[in-house]
Amino acid sequence: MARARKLFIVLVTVFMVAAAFSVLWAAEKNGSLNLDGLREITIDQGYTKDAAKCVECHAKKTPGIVESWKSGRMSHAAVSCIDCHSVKKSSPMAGQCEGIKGSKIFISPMVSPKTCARCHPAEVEQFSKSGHARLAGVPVLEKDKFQKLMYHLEGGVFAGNDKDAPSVSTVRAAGCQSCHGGEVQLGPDNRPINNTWPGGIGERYPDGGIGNCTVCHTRHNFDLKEARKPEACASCHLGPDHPDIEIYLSSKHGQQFLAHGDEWKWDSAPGVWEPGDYTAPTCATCHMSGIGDLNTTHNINERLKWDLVHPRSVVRSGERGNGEKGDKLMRQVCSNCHAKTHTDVQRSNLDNAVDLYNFYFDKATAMKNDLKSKNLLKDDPWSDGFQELNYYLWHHTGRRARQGTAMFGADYTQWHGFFQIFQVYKDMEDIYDYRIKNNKIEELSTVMNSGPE
Amino acid sequence: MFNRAIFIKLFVILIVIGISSLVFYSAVEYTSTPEYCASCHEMQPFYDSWSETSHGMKDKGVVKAVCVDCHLPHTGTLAYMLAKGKSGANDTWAHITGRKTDWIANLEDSEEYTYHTGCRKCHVELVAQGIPLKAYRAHNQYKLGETSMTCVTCHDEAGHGDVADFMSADNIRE
Repeated sequence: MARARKLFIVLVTVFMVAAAFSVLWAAEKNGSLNLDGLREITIDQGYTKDAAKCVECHAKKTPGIVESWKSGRMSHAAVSCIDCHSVKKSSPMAGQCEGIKGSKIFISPMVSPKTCARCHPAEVEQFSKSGHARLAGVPVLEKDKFQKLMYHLEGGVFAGNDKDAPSVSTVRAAGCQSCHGGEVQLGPDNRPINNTWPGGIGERYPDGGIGNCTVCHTRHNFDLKEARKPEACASCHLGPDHPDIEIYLSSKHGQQFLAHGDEWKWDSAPGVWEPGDYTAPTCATCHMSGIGDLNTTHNINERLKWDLVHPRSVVRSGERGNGEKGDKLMRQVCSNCHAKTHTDVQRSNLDNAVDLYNFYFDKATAMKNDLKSKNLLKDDPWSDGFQELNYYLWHHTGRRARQGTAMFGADYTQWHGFFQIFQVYKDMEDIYDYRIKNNKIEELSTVMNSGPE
Repeated sequence: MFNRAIFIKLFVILIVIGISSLVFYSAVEYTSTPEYCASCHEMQPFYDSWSETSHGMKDKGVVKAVCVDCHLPHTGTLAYMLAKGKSGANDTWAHITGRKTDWIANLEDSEEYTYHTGCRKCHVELVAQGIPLKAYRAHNQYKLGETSMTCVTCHDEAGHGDVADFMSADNIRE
């Protein structure tokens, strides 16, 4: 028996070694030692030779991208790497990777909405008129206060950090720009430099395109379902200053999504994703989707009445939308599931919340103006308790109260909202009274710099 | 009853109108050839870059569209003649006064001086069977009037190829 077992082991070993050698020999013969068959793609139909070459090469070099593309809608429409990434030779972004060096093909890793518009012109046009395009990038690119915050303050320059140190741009590149977008700067090879790419929804590209479609339609899968889910919005609309995802998830709408979302039909055709496919709306449903008689829009301002973002809330107008029309459109959205009485209550709650917030804000502004006229405000608002509180009043608690009411997150109307607004306001009042009474600024700020949560 | 004088006057007027129309028509014809346009040196690079595209002479030398097919509106005789007169006068004045034009910068506004009504004279069926799927969507939105983008927004190389590259590559004869 023992002999037979030994013989068996020897035979198996010999067989395995032979098998291993034959695989290696075969690989050698093919000119590579790539044993990972999963990374091999050969395309013989439906694509030009150049288009196929990109896919085949990148299946080896960046298999994750190709796998993602393969399972998405673009590949089903025969749209491949070259359709979105090829640019004219004269494009400011034109470059060549190893695989196409010396050919007449030029590419860029950056894809601006101008490219997306070649197949989706109406969507890009709507998007371009929205606050998600040019307006989104304004803080990062055009506001001095914001620049000072990103570089001088958060970048530590005020505390002695070298203003040319790469670390100074950390917050802009990995923080602000990730949502707001920035402006791409190019190096000599037409590739982005200074971490100015990638950027968020308001990214400005060298070809003049403004916006970033892949924020919601993540590359390279471009999943319709994903853009319809609240998670698509949540990477930016969260946190202490505009906890929109938290508000949504704690609302009745979000409760339905969390409880039943798994059973909803997420991939109905654009424009006909209607109640029945879902039992409660997501962000996209109310702000964008074709529902009832309303057409789909990529202009997220279109169905908004109030500006609930800036220090004082006003009915939207000009570049920020048309509030009166927005109110009518949003009510039309509601009417797909709610009777008029219910909608009227919710909309009047919002109007009242805006009135109440504006009341506090106007009173706070009057105090601030009085202090300013009496020279009782510090030049640096961030070491001045009154001004710091004023910031939290509108930027944090004020937005939470307003947006919480707009989207039915009761806790955000109350505990995270007006409860803190009144407290912040009272503290501001105390500081105001002290300064007026003593005609001087208190020596130390009593404000916690993390702000009210 | 028969007024001979009036008859002769009418006859002469008709003859004059006829001859002027013929002269006018020939002038319009004459000034509508690519060769006429390129007779001003400023237009030479555009003539050359056009020649190399499929709308020019690339495919076996068969010209498919000339300057006025794309760069004048085709919405009616009046609009056509007005635009022709206006741009002709503008170009002549620029030529005489030596006014420089930033052609590359002007590419930004190419939709304004490339009229889709011209494209549509030949390209009638935009969502015909057999059209690639990736073109269908944009063409359909254009056809339904859901976008203000026009043909050249996407097909910006149809008439002159990569004209910015052409201009920068020492093809301009001053």
